[in-house]
Amino acid sequence: VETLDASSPVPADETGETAVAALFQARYLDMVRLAVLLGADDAEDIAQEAFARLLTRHVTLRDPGAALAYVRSTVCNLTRKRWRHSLVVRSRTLAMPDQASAEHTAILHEDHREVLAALATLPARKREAIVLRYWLDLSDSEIAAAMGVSAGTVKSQLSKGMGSLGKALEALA
Amino acid sequence: MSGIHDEDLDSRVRAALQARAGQVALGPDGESGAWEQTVSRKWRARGLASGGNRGGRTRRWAAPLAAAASVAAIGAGIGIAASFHSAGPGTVASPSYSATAIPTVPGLPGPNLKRAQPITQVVLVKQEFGTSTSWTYVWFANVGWFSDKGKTLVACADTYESRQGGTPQLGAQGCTPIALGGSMLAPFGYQLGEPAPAFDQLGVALRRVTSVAIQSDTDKNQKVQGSLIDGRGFPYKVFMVTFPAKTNLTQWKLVAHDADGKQDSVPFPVATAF
Repeated sequence: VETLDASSPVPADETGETAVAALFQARYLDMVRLAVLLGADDAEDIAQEAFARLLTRHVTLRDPGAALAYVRSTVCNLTRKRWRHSLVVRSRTLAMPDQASAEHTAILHEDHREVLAALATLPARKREAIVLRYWLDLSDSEIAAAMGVSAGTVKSQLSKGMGSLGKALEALA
Repeated sequence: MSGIHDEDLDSRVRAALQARAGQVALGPDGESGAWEQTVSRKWRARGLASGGNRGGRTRRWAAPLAAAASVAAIGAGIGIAASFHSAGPGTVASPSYSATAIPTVPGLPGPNLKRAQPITQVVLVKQEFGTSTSWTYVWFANVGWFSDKGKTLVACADTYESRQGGTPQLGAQGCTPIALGGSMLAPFGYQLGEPAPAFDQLGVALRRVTSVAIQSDTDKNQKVQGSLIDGRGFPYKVFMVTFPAKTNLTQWKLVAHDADGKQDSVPFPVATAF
């Protein structure tokens, strides 16, 4: 009996699966965290889906930096789409507060909790821009690539988002 | 607008995000489990994607399999009658594979691959019986045609067969729901076309199973060792036991062992068929 990988006409090394595995090892937890900060309920699922999509496309991603940018962008897109769906579902049932568990709320510093609560009230795009800038320290162009918008839009979203955040925090105070 | 927020707000946001991110931990499967699931998704994604893009799927399967240098060296030893199986008893599949070794491998997709989209890797098993050669594609799928209540996990196989070097013809093929029922293994009926020089018995086994064989109830020395087939994303192992068509199988059974030495068996031959 001889068994062959019928699904992979391209040798494994040439598909770059090893390189993706290395990227996964280095960045998977970060991508889970990114999804959490963007408001995902199923952060691990989103991160895995993002890397799975990279596995199907890595042949065309010759630049390792582009691979990470691709995963980051996919996490943003998937979180945004699922968040929208989630909002629709919730509006048809009962209002479900978009907040973290009681356990993590209790552990977090009071000020952190307030900031995160205010952040959760922002529209998805503004929240994305803020998280990508203030947690990942990405440049405007990197944020633009992740969000699929122009650098000008990033600046605008950041500025308006931080303004809205400040007002939300004042309201909470 | 950029002057609305201040440095204090910037630092508060940074600190809050860092604090929240620091609380995030991976699930019980950890990173290695997550990677396995991710790779499994890759194959599912390919299957789903191909369903909506017929041209894409055609190109994917049309890629020359002869160029497949990535060989899953999964084949366990075949302990079948030495005079029968060309590989001989105890032979382990070679981990390398010549690009010209299977020049006549039949084209894909087969009928089941068209209607039962793989959610796992598709593994190709090649066997030779004297002048006959068979190629069996094995994979798992979720299909809706077994139940009105939702999808059913099935193990699928498409077999092509060539006699005396002739053009490969589609042989036995089908998908069977997984029904272990507390057992370590569950066979599903299967055989090469008549008149066949050999029969294959396929089935699924728990992942902890390390060997499957058919064995005589009356003489434990009469035994045909099977192969265990594994692939990325496989929820179960698939076993394949091949035996000469003329074997007298009165009072035989299928026997599975796991790594702890536990044994389980089911009656054989199996009455069900695709």
